[in-house]
Amino acid sequence: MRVFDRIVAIILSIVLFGLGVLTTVEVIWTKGLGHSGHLVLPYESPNRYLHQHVWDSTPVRVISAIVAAVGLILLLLELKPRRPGLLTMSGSTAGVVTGISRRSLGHALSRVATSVAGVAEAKTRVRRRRAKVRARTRLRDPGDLEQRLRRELTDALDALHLTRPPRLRLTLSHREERE
Amino acid sequence: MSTSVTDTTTQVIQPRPTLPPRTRAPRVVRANRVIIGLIGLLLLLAGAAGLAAGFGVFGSAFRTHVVIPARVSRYAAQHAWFWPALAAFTFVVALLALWWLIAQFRTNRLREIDLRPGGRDGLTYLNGKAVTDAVEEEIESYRGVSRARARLSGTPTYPRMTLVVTLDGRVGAGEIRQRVEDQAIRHARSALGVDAVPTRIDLVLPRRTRRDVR
Repeated sequence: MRVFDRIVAIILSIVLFGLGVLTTVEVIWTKGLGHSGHLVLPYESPNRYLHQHVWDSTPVRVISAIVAAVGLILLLLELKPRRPGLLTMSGSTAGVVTGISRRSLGHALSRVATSVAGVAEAKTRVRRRRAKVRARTRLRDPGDLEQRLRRELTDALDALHLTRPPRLRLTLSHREERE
Repeated sequence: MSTSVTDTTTQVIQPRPTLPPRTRAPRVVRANRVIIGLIGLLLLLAGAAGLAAGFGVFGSAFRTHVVIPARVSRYAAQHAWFWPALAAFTFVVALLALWWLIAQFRTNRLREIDLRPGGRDGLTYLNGKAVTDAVEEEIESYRGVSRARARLSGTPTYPRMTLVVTLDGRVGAGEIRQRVEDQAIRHARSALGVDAVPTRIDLVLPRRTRRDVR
């Protein structure tokens, strides 16, 4: 979103700067220096258009709808709450704050899950308050695998000393479930 | 910024649960959000007003008016201040747009640190890159770290440090964090001759553990 905002800002600022300078130049050229006709910005045609078309004409309604839609999209995008940032870790040094991105935490939990014997693969999705781990095993009888996996994941989360650790939600699927 | 919870042995500092994403220029990010939002609001209001006029919300007679009626042109022609005022307004808009454009390329990176603020017998500056290079080199020498990036921001008399430390999975994140705090940050403070440098550490955890090569 920050990159999108920066691109939009660059485009809008160039457009506004160009229009501002050209309009100033045109006003000075025609009204200040008394020339007839435009210097750079051909404003006569849109000016004539706006003097000839009424509000309920289709082109004016379409242009108004496009302007309103663009404005609404920009406004909603900027009002939309930003994604939560990094999860912080409790520390012991004043003035030092340590954070881990949710993606990183997901990688770490997936890594811990796949290191447990019997787990074939694991996918993790971390939200602000919840970490959802979906693990898969090829074992026909997983036995206590789910308990072992949960214990390992809980230990890994505890070891990070997160200020507000996300709640762990584990789903273990095995071969029988897939058939 | 943080609250502390103390037990009998060590002080555990509980910062806010989340940190905002890292950025080179936080003020520009905020300004972009506000300005784009305001432009969006202006466009929305202008477009909605045009639609309302077109559908007769302002009266059935108004919908048959031309968008720029002749009386507007007459008003401009009868008032000598109109065109100079318009030129001044558009010039100010152009200047503000130019400021906004230049701001997009700003960064809060600190290039020099004032080691003796207010020194009466001269000024002493330390190159910020020398500090960040040393910090990066030290952290990258730790087992369990694959990459470290440091940058200084703030003011020459009140620097702040941001560290991005990429781990390779061989050593726990808590252990690395402790080592960075106890050693690298302490050394940086010592080099800068200050008691505290507000520091942010972003730990990047790997998808796979790097294997030790013997």
